Amino acid sequence: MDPEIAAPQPIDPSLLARYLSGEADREERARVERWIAASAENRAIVDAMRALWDRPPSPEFDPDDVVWRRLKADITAARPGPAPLAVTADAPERRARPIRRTWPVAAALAALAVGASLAVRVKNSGWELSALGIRSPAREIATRRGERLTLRLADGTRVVLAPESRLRFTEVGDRRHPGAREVELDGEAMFTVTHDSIHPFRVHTANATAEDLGTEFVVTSYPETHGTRVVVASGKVELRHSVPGGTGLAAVTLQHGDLGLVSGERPVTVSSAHGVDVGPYTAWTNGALAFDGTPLREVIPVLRRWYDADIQLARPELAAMKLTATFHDESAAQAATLIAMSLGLQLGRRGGSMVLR
Amino acid sequence: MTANLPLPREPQDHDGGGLPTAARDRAWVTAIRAGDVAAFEAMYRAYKNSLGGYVQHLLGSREAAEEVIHDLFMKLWEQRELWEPPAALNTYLFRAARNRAFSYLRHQRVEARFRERITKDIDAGESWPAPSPTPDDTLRYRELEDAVERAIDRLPTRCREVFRLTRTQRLSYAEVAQVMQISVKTVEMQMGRALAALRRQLAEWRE
Repeated sequence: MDPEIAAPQPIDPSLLARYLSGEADREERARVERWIAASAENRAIVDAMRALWDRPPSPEFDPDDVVWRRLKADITAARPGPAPLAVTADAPERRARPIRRTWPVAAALAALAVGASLAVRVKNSGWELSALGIRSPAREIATRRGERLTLRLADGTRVVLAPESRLRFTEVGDRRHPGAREVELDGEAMFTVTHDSIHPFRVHTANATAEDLGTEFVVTSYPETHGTRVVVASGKVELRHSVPGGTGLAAVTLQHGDLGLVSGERPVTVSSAHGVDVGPYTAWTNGALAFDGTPLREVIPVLRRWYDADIQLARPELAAMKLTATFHDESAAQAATLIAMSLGLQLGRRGGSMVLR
Repeated sequence: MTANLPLPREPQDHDGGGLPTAARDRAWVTAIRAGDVAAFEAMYRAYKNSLGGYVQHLLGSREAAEEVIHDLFMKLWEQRELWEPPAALNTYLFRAARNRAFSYLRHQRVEARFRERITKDIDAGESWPAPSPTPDDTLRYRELEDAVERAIDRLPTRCREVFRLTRTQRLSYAEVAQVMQISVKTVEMQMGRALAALRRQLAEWRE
């Protein structure tokens, strides 16, 4: 009897199925290929099966697009009207660390994959209030710990939002329809403002207003700032204390290398310093964290915010130690290790936190 | 007798964009959460054929599938601000579509009619586009195809669903396990059954 037309040797159907589906590992592939090579009949079976195993893709579903037209109609009915505001955002950047969470709950732009540079167009969808006929084109963008976001407003102004910060747009016109340009900030952001002397750009924090006179400047108003700090990289900014419903009291004009501070505690003072090295205040916008003789008590909250990692000091005396260091792409653990090494401290873990002792 | 079978078709690429799928999907979720209708439409268009085909297979009806797909995406849009797909977008959408399809079935009580209808649809050529006149080789291929389709439709329900998800919708075994909430071992076993059934069909056809 001709061995070529002997009955084919059996092969486990699940194995052959894995092979044809592309799920087989190297060892499995080798086993199947030995079986195929064992006889012409085996080869013929696999060739025929291969043709049948690749099912054609689903035919075009709903070719008349009935479903989409209904969806679009339903969506538009639920929305108050055309978006008055268009914001283009670059991919927000995260510090390298294992992703523990998935997606934020608040209506905010979440982190995209590191390295994916993408323009995401976010259109204002209006507030719930709009359903009552009150048009409120305000829009809010927020970052969480460990997130940084660069965005471009409709007028061309570039904003880099630091972690744990929130920016609220009340009015931002676009180049063709300029209007007043007002934003509210909690936290920290760097603004590179397209100058328009007829329509000044104003950043409002809880206790201050910084008004652009054609500039690049950083506004900081975190809880630990105890007020509002403005550092000007270029151009001119007018900084004044603001009270709800009132006009600013004291005001100061800041230029390149100036730092202005509106204190948060009474008595309210507006002060400024000149000849400040702007670098450490803007380094974060380029992904670097810079500390220059900064006491650890100020370093710790910054690290917590930037890495979303819990770092603690074991002894209160450590809070006064001064750190001079710049971090670029280190992970939280690497940064903490570097701090420990440079200050002669030990780094340990307690629960989910890192502890410097 | 043997047929001169043409080469297998290239698998359809469901990805419409230039980005790797995972990055594209994450970008869509982000944008949709923020209310971006263009991203919502892009996502719908990228997935509608595979999701629609799958649901249509589950329900045996094009109209029912359109309704389920519409409701799925409408609900997604309505709840977009809280939308947190826990894993990959495609398995999330398939699972959601599957759940909706089954609750539609329960609601409509068409299960018995479903099995009947599938056979009728196949005979009437409704489930797949009618073949156009073709040269001999391709005609023989289509006859075999039809025989294979009938064989697939005679598979036990879960086996058939597993097979369709892997071979028509091109989900991986792991993804199918996620969508159907079964173990990968079960997926393997079902695929083995499907292969054995198709082999038998092929052998019969060749005689």
